[in-house]
Amino acid sequence: MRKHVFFILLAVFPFCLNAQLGFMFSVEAGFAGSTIKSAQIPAFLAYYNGTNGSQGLSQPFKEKNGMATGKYFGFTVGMGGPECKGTLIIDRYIMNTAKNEARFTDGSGRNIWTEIKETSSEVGVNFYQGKFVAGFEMVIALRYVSVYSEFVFPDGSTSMGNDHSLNGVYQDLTFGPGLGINVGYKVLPFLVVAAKSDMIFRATKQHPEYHQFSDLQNFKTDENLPGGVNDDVWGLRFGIGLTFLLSSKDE
Amino acid sequence: MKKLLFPFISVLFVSLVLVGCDKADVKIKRLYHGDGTWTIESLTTEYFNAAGITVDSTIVDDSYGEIAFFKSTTLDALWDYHFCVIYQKDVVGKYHEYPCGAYFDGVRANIEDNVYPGNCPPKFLGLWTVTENNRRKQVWTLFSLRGDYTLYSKTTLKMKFK
Repeated sequence: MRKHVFFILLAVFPFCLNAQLGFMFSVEAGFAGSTIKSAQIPAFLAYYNGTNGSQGLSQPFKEKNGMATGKYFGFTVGMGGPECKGTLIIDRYIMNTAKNEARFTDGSGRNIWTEIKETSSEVGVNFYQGKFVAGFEMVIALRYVSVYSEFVFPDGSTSMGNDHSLNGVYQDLTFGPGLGINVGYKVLPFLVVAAKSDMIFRATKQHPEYHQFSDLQNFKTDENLPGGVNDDVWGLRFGIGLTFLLSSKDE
Repeated sequence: MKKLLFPFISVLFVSLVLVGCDKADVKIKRLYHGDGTWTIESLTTEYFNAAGITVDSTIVDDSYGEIAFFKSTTLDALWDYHFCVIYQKDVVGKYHEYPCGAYFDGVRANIEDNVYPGNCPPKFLGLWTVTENNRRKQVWTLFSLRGDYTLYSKTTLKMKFK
């Protein structure tokens, strides 16, 4: 077991093999955001606007994906020398877009918004120079992308029930590889102000039919989001926050 | 290349565990933490006029007392089965039990008549919208429409964890 643990630590920082052995453990949290690249969500919004345009739709949907904002938190394990450490980062991102609203003349309508919940496993290298730290990482993001669709009644009540067929929580689990960079400044011996940005790529283009948004929870049936076939959600993800160095030992 | 396999699988495993924490099967645990019993504070149905805006009448049903949520797992099951028992009080104050199927993903709650079909109270059946989701308080709403898709009724269920 110890051999495996050592091998994990050794394998995640091949760029620091010539450095002296030091250990670092930190936790981090902050604000996060992500652009959303997806063909299906705007396609659905366009489909809705087109279908209801002659039905008294006074305020159509904005036919774009929007930007998701939220938070991230996680931890980092690092090993290497005082100037260079290989890192293994596990972060959790929870982000959602603002509600995209469409309204009819009688006050009823529909709200749509997108939520990203993902676990990001990152393997990389950090370089330390004085109070500055900078690095890069390879990312594997396992992300649940959920499109929430709720009906709004004229009195303001909202429904996700079976009273309207488009109501639902349409989910897709994607596996997104990525590349990213991070920078930080040590304001205190144990506290780093950090910023990071990762480009999460499209997982597959070959079989988009396997990546449709489906409301599998409603309930054990397969209702797909109308508007076409999904081609995954991808885009630029970024975060800014604080990193707390809980343990740092350089020998 | 083989040497990278173990760390890669390890990272993937941790990721899957964390992603798994988001599953609806986890979210329903909010309903059956403790002994899973919730006191029904109120069950109110508002009926709307044909315009779907003005409330024509309001009916409060206070015959229901509690809902108990629980899960059952059999050895050959691939997933957990979730249930609830609705307790209704009759005119002499005696409680009757009505078992139903239940599902909950944090924004919706589904009460199904799949345990003893025909036994679950019709007033509870359907896909509810969760408008308040706390560990000790739940507010659900259920809507029904007329044939012309105007709002007919809105039922609000308020529950407090016992």
